[in-house]
Amino acid sequence: MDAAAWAGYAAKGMTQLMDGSAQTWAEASDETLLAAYADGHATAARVLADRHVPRVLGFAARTLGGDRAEAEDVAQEAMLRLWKVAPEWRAGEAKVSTWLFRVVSNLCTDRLRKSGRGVDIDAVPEPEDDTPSAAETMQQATRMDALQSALSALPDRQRQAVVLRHIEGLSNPEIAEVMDIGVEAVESLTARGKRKLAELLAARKDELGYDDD
Amino acid sequence: MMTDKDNALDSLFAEARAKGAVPSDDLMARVMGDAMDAIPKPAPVAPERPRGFLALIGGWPSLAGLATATVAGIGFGFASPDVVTTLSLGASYDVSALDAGYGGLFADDGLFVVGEDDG
Repeated sequence: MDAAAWAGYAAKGMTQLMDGSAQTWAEASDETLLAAYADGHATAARVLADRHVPRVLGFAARTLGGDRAEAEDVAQEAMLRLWKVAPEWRAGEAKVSTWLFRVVSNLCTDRLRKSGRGVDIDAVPEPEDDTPSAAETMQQATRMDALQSALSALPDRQRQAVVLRHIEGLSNPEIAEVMDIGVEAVESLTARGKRKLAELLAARKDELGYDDD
Repeated sequence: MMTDKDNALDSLFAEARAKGAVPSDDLMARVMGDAMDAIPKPAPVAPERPRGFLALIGGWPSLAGLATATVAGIGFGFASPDVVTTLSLGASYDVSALDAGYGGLFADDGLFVVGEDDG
Protein backbone atom coordinates (compact mmCIF):
# COMPACT_ATOMS: atom_id res chain seq x y z
CA MET A 1 0.00 0.00 0.00
CA ASP A 2 1.01 3.59 -0.56
CA ALA A 3 1.54 4.03 3.15
CA ALA A 4 2.64 7.65 3.07
CA ALA A 5 -0.22 8.71 0.86
CA TRP A 6 -2.72 6.77 2.90
CA ALA A 7 -1.44 8.25 6.13
CA GLY A 8 -1.73 11.71 4.63
CA TYR A 9 -5.27 11.16 3.47
CA ALA A 10 -6.18 9.52 6.71
CA ALA A 11 -4.98 12.60 8.52
CA LYS A 12 -6.49 15.32 6.39
CA GLY A 13 -9.01 13.72 4.11
CA MET A 14 -11.00 11.37 6.27
CA THR A 15 -13.64 13.93 7.11
CA GLN A 16 -14.09 14.79 3.47
CA LEU A 17 -14.28 11.11 2.63
CA MET A 18 -16.86 10.39 5.24
CA ASP A 19 -19.09 13.29 4.27
CA GLY A 20 -19.14 12.05 0.70
CA SER A 21 -16.77 14.50 -0.95
CA ALA A 22 -14.74 12.83 -3.64
CA GLN A 23 -12.61 15.84 -4.44
CA THR A 24 -9.72 14.84 -2.24
CA TRP A 25 -9.90 11.24 -3.29
CA ALA A 26 -10.05 11.96 -6.99
CA GLU A 27 -6.35 12.73 -6.75
CA ALA A 28 -5.51 9.55 -4.89
CA SER A 29 -3.82 6.61 -6.55
CA ASP A 30 -5.78 3.49 -7.31
CA GLU A 31 -3.94 1.61 -4.59
CA THR A 32 -4.72 4.28 -2.04
CA LEU A 33 -8.38 4.20 -2.98
CA LEU A 34 -8.47 0.43 -2.84
CA ALA A 35 -6.94 0.49 0.62
CA ALA A 36 -9.48 3.08 1.72
CA TYR A 37 -12.29 0.91 0.38
CA ALA A 38 -10.86 -2.06 2.25
CA ASP A 39 -11.04 0.11 5.35
CA GLY A 40 -14.75 0.54 4.76
CA HIS A 41 -14.95 3.85 2.90
CA ALA A 42 -17.62 3.85 0.23
CA THR A 43 -16.55 7.03 -1.51
CA ALA A 44 -13.27 5.41 -2.47
CA ALA A 45 -15.27 2.75 -4.31
CA ARG A 46 -17.21 5.42 -6.14
CA VAL A 47 -14.03 7.12 -7.35
CA LEU A 48 -12.57 3.79 -8.44
CA ALA A 49 -15.75 2.93 -10.31
CA ASP A 50 -15.88 6.30 -12.05
CA ARG A 51 -12.26 5.89 -13.03
CA HIS A 52 -12.30 2.32 -14.29
CA VAL A 53 -15.79 1.23 -15.35
CA PRO A 54 -15.75 3.23 -18.62
CA ARG A 55 -12.46 1.70 -19.73
CA VAL A 56 -13.40 -1.78 -18.57
CA LEU A 57 -16.75 -1.50 -20.32
CA GLY A 58 -15.20 -0.22 -23.54
CA PHE A 59 -12.64 -2.99 -23.63
CA ALA A 60 -15.27 -5.64 -22.92
CA ALA A 61 -17.65 -4.28 -25.55
CA ARG A 62 -15.02 -4.24 -28.24
CA THR A 63 -13.72 -7.66 -27.28
CA LEU A 64 -17.21 -9.13 -27.29
CA GLY A 65 -18.02 -7.70 -30.68
CA GLY A 66 -20.12 -4.81 -29.53
CA ASP A 67 -22.61 -6.68 -27.34
CA ARG A 68 -23.40 -3.92 -24.87
CA ALA A 69 -25.48 -5.92 -22.39
CA GLU A 70 -22.93 -8.69 -22.18
CA ALA A 71 -20.14 -6.15 -21.86
CA GLU A 72 -21.94 -4.54 -18.94
CA ASP A 73 -22.22 -7.92 -17.23
CA VAL A 74 -18.50 -8.47 -17.70
CA ALA A 75 -17.67 -5.00 -16.41
CA GLN A 76 -19.82 -5.54 -13.34
CA GLU A 77 -18.23 -8.93 -12.67
CA ALA A 78 -14.71 -7.52 -13.06
CA MET A 79 -15.44 -4.71 -10.61
CA LEU A 80 -17.02 -7.15 -8.17
CA ARG A 81 -13.83 -9.18 -8.21
CA LEU A 82 -11.90 -6.01 -7.51
CA TRP A 83 -14.08 -5.25 -4.47
CA LYS A 84 -13.57 -8.76 -3.17
CA VAL A 85 -9.83 -8.76 -3.62
CA ALA A 86 -9.39 -5.32 -2.03
CA PRO A 87 -8.59 -6.54 1.52
CA GLU A 88 -5.84 -8.81 0.21
CA TRP A 89 -4.49 -6.41 -2.39
CA ARG A 90 -0.72 -6.28 -2.24
CA ALA A 91 0.74 -3.01 -3.35
CA GLY A 92 3.32 -2.98 -6.08
CA GLU A 93 2.42 -6.34 -7.57
CA ALA A 94 0.11 -5.04 -10.26
CA LYS A 95 -1.59 -1.89 -11.39
CA VAL A 96 -5.29 -1.90 -10.70
CA SER A 97 -6.05 -1.04 -14.32
CA THR A 98 -3.85 -3.84 -15.63
CA TRP A 99 -5.42 -6.28 -13.17
CA LEU A 100 -8.91 -5.27 -14.29
CA PHE A 101 -8.07 -5.59 -17.97
CA ARG A 102 -6.71 -9.04 -17.28
CA VAL A 103 -9.91 -10.09 -15.52
CA VAL A 104 -11.99 -8.69 -18.38
CA SER A 105 -9.79 -10.44 -20.91
CA ASN A 106 -10.31 -13.78 -19.19
CA LEU A 107 -14.04 -13.27 -18.73
CA CYS A 108 -14.47 -12.32 -22.37
CA THR A 109 -12.38 -15.24 -23.56
CA ASP A 110 -14.53 -17.61 -21.49
CA ARG A 111 -17.74 -16.17 -22.84
CA LEU A 112 -16.54 -16.23 -26.42
CA ARG A 113 -15.42 -19.82 -26.02
CA LYS A 114 -18.66 -20.99 -24.43
CA SER A 115 -20.78 -19.29 -27.02
CA GLY A 116 -18.74 -20.70 -29.85
CA ARG A 117 -17.66 -17.28 -30.98
CA GLY A 118 -14.11 -17.86 -29.86
CA VAL A 119 -11.71 -18.63 -32.63
CA ASP A 120 -8.36 -20.35 -32.58
CA ILE A 121 -5.88 -17.73 -33.56
CA ASP A 122 -3.90 -20.06 -35.78
CA ALA A 123 -6.97 -21.40 -37.55
CA VAL A 124 -8.39 -18.09 -38.59
CA PRO A 125 -8.50 -17.47 -42.30
CA GLU A 126 -7.66 -14.06 -43.58
CA PRO A 127 -10.80 -11.96 -43.21
CA GLU A 128 -12.76 -11.48 -46.38
CA ASP A 129 -13.91 -8.01 -47.16
CA ASP A 130 -16.51 -8.92 -49.71
CA THR A 131 -18.90 -10.83 -47.51
CA PRO A 132 -22.52 -9.70 -47.55
CA SER A 133 -22.40 -8.61 -43.92
CA ALA A 134 -19.32 -6.50 -44.58
CA ALA A 135 -21.02 -4.90 -47.55
CA GLU A 136 -24.18 -4.20 -45.61
CA THR A 137 -22.20 -2.74 -42.74
CA MET A 138 -20.27 -0.59 -45.16
CA GLN A 139 -23.45 0.99 -46.31
CA GLN A 140 -25.12 1.49 -42.95
CA ALA A 141 -22.62 1.80 -40.21
CA THR A 142 -20.92 4.83 -38.84
CA ARG A 143 -17.18 5.09 -38.68
CA MET A 144 -17.11 3.56 -35.25
CA ASP A 145 -19.39 0.80 -36.30
CA ALA A 146 -17.08 0.10 -39.19
CA LEU A 147 -14.13 -0.07 -36.85
CA GLN A 148 -15.97 -2.35 -34.47
CA SER A 149 -17.03 -4.56 -37.30
CA ALA A 150 -13.46 -4.86 -38.48
CA LEU A 151 -12.25 -5.53 -34.99
CA SER A 152 -14.82 -8.26 -34.60
CA ALA A 153 -13.45 -9.97 -37.64
CA LEU A 154 -10.09 -10.40 -35.97
CA PRO A 155 -9.21 -13.45 -33.91
CA ASP A 156 -9.96 -12.90 -30.25
CA ARG A 157 -6.38 -12.47 -29.13
CA GLN A 158 -5.48 -10.13 -31.95
CA ARG A 159 -8.56 -8.09 -31.23
CA GLN A 160 -7.73 -7.83 -27.54
CA ALA A 161 -4.14 -6.86 -28.23
CA VAL A 162 -5.11 -4.23 -30.79
CA VAL A 163 -7.79 -2.71 -28.57
CA LEU A 164 -5.50 -2.61 -25.56
CA ARG A 165 -2.63 -1.10 -27.55
CA HIS A 166 -4.32 1.34 -29.87
CA ILE A 167 -7.55 2.30 -28.12
CA GLU A 168 -6.88 1.80 -24.41
CA GLY A 169 -3.29 2.97 -24.81
CA LEU A 170 -1.53 0.29 -22.80
CA SER A 171 2.15 -0.36 -23.33
CA ASN A 172 3.31 -3.64 -24.77
CA PRO A 173 4.65 -4.88 -21.39
CA GLU A 174 1.30 -4.05 -19.81
CA ILE A 175 -0.55 -5.94 -22.53
CA ALA A 176 1.81 -8.86 -22.02
CA GLU A 177 0.80 -8.90 -18.36
CA VAL A 178 -2.89 -8.62 -19.15
CA MET A 179 -2.81 -11.42 -21.71
CA ASP A 180 -0.20 -13.51 -19.93
CA ILE A 181 2.08 -13.69 -22.92
CA GLY A 182 5.50 -12.34 -23.85
CA VAL A 183 6.14 -8.87 -25.17
CA GLU A 184 7.25 -10.28 -28.53
CA ALA A 185 3.95 -12.12 -28.84
CA VAL A 186 2.14 -8.86 -28.13
CA GLU A 187 4.11 -7.11 -30.85
CA SER A 188 3.25 -9.89 -33.28
CA LEU A 189 -0.43 -9.84 -32.39
CA THR A 190 -0.78 -6.09 -32.68
CA ALA A 191 1.16 -5.94 -35.95
CA ARG A 192 -0.89 -8.71 -37.53
CA GLY A 193 -4.11 -7.34 -36.16
CA LYS A 194 -3.45 -3.85 -37.36
CA ARG A 195 -2.49 -5.12 -40.80
CA LYS A 196 -5.71 -7.06 -41.10
CA LEU A 197 -7.74 -4.13 -39.89
CA ALA A 198 -6.17 -1.94 -42.51
CA GLU A 199 -7.05 -4.46 -45.18
CA LEU A 200 -10.62 -4.74 -43.95
CA LEU A 201 -11.15 -1.03 -43.71
CA ALA A 202 -9.56 -0.32 -47.07
CA ALA A 203 -12.68 -1.70 -48.62
CA ARG A 204 -14.61 1.07 -46.92
CA LYS A 205 -12.37 3.96 -47.84
CA ASP A 206 -15.25 6.09 -49.05
CA GLU A 207 -17.11 5.62 -45.85
CA LEU A 208 -14.02 6.25 -43.75
CA GLY A 209 -12.90 9.19 -45.80
CA TYR A 210 -9.37 8.40 -46.87
CA ASP A 211 -7.70 7.84 -50.18
CA ASP A 212 -6.17 4.58 -51.16
CA ASP A 213 -3.41 6.13 -53.23
CA MET B 1 6.74 3.83 -43.29
CA MET B 2 3.30 5.21 -42.58
CA THR B 3 0.79 4.75 -45.36
CA ASP B 4 -2.56 6.35 -45.90
CA LYS B 5 -4.12 3.16 -44.57
CA ASP B 6 -2.08 3.45 -41.40
CA ASN B 7 -2.96 7.09 -41.03
CA ALA B 8 -6.63 6.37 -41.51
CA LEU B 9 -6.52 3.53 -39.03
CA ASP B 10 -4.70 5.64 -36.46
CA SER B 11 -7.31 8.34 -36.92
CA LEU B 12 -10.03 5.80 -36.27
CA PHE B 13 -8.25 4.55 -33.16
CA ALA B 14 -7.89 8.10 -31.88
CA GLU B 15 -11.55 8.73 -32.55
CA ALA B 16 -12.54 5.58 -30.69
CA ARG B 17 -10.22 6.46 -27.81
CA ALA B 18 -11.64 9.96 -27.52
CA LYS B 19 -15.21 8.74 -27.67
CA GLY B 20 -14.79 6.14 -24.96
CA ALA B 21 -17.56 4.15 -23.40
CA VAL B 22 -20.15 5.81 -21.23
CA PRO B 23 -21.54 3.46 -18.59
CA SER B 24 -25.27 3.60 -18.06
CA ASP B 25 -26.66 4.77 -14.75
CA ASP B 26 -28.00 1.26 -14.26
CA LEU B 27 -24.54 -0.27 -14.63
CA MET B 28 -22.99 2.21 -12.21
CA ALA B 29 -25.77 1.51 -9.72
CA ARG B 30 -25.14 -2.24 -10.02
CA VAL B 31 -21.40 -1.77 -9.60
CA MET B 32 -21.85 0.42 -6.53
CA GLY B 33 -24.43 -1.98 -5.14
CA ASP B 34 -21.86 -4.75 -5.37
CA ALA B 35 -19.28 -2.49 -3.77
CA MET B 36 -21.54 -1.81 -0.81
CA ASP B 37 -22.41 -5.49 -0.43
CA ALA B 38 -18.75 -6.48 -0.47
CA ILE B 39 -17.36 -3.58 1.54
CA PRO B 40 -15.31 -4.94 4.41
CA LYS B 41 -17.04 -4.42 7.72
CA PRO B 42 -15.05 -3.00 10.61
CA ALA B 43 -14.20 -5.57 13.24
CA PRO B 44 -16.92 -5.61 15.91
CA VAL B 45 -15.93 -3.71 19.00
CA ALA B 46 -16.64 -5.50 22.27
CA PRO B 47 -18.99 -3.49 24.49
CA GLU B 48 -17.09 -1.76 27.21
CA ARG B 49 -17.62 -3.39 30.55
CA PRO B 50 -18.46 -1.24 33.51
CA ARG B 51 -15.36 -0.42 35.41
CA GLY B 52 -15.57 -0.76 39.17
CA PHE B 53 -14.54 -2.99 41.99
CA LEU B 54 -14.72 -6.08 39.81
CA ALA B 55 -12.42 -4.52 37.23
CA LEU B 56 -9.99 -3.48 39.93
CA ILE B 57 -9.55 -7.00 41.20
CA GLY B 58 -9.27 -8.49 37.75
CA GLY B 59 -12.81 -9.43 36.80
CA TRP B 60 -14.87 -12.56 37.34
CA PRO B 61 -11.98 -15.07 37.29
CA SER B 62 -10.32 -13.26 40.18
CA LEU B 63 -13.61 -13.14 42.04
CA ALA B 64 -13.95 -16.90 41.70
CA GLY B 65 -10.46 -17.36 43.16
CA LEU B 66 -11.31 -14.99 45.96
CA ALA B 67 -14.46 -16.95 46.79
CA THR B 68 -12.56 -20.22 46.87
CA ALA B 69 -9.94 -18.79 49.21
CA THR B 70 -12.67 -17.39 51.46
CA VAL B 71 -14.44 -20.72 51.76
CA ALA B 72 -11.14 -22.49 52.44
CA GLY B 73 -10.28 -19.94 55.14
CA ILE B 74 -13.61 -20.41 56.87
CA GLY B 75 -13.10 -24.17 56.69
CA PHE B 76 -9.71 -23.92 58.32
CA GLY B 77 -11.19 -21.65 60.97
CA PHE B 78 -13.69 -24.28 62.02
CA ALA B 79 -11.37 -27.21 61.67
CA SER B 80 -9.74 -28.79 64.70
CA PRO B 81 -5.94 -28.51 65.31
CA ASP B 82 -5.72 -32.18 64.47
CA VAL B 83 -6.84 -31.44 60.99
CA VAL B 84 -4.21 -28.76 60.63
CA THR B 85 -1.59 -31.15 61.96
CA THR B 86 -2.71 -33.74 59.48
CA LEU B 87 -2.49 -31.26 56.69
CA SER B 88 1.06 -30.37 57.73
CA LEU B 89 2.14 -34.02 57.54
CA GLY B 90 2.30 -34.46 61.25
CA ALA B 91 4.72 -31.62 61.90
CA SER B 92 3.85 -28.87 64.31
CA TYR B 93 5.50 -25.58 64.71
CA ASP B 94 6.53 -23.79 67.85
CA VAL B 95 5.80 -20.18 67.25
CA SER B 96 6.42 -19.16 70.87
CA ALA B 97 9.79 -17.79 69.85
CA LEU B 98 7.99 -15.04 68.06
CA ASP B 99 6.99 -13.75 71.46
CA ALA B 100 10.62 -13.12 72.20
CA GLY B 101 10.62 -10.38 69.74
CA TYR B 102 12.74 -9.80 66.75
CA GLY B 103 15.94 -11.11 68.35
CA GLY B 104 14.32 -14.46 68.95
CA LEU B 105 14.52 -15.14 65.27
CA PHE B 106 18.20 -15.86 65.68
CA ALA B 107 18.08 -17.90 68.87
CA ASP B 108 19.45 -21.42 68.67
CA ASP B 109 16.22 -22.88 69.87
CA GLY B 110 14.10 -20.19 68.38
CA LEU B 111 11.94 -19.97 65.35
CA PHE B 112 10.78 -22.93 63.32
CA VAL B 113 11.94 -25.58 65.66
CA VAL B 114 10.15 -28.68 64.71
CA GLY B 115 8.31 -29.69 67.83
CA GLU B 116 8.10 -33.44 67.30
CA ASP B 117 10.58 -34.22 70.10
CA ASP B 118 10.68 -30.95 71.99
CA GLY B 119 7.98 -32.04 74.33
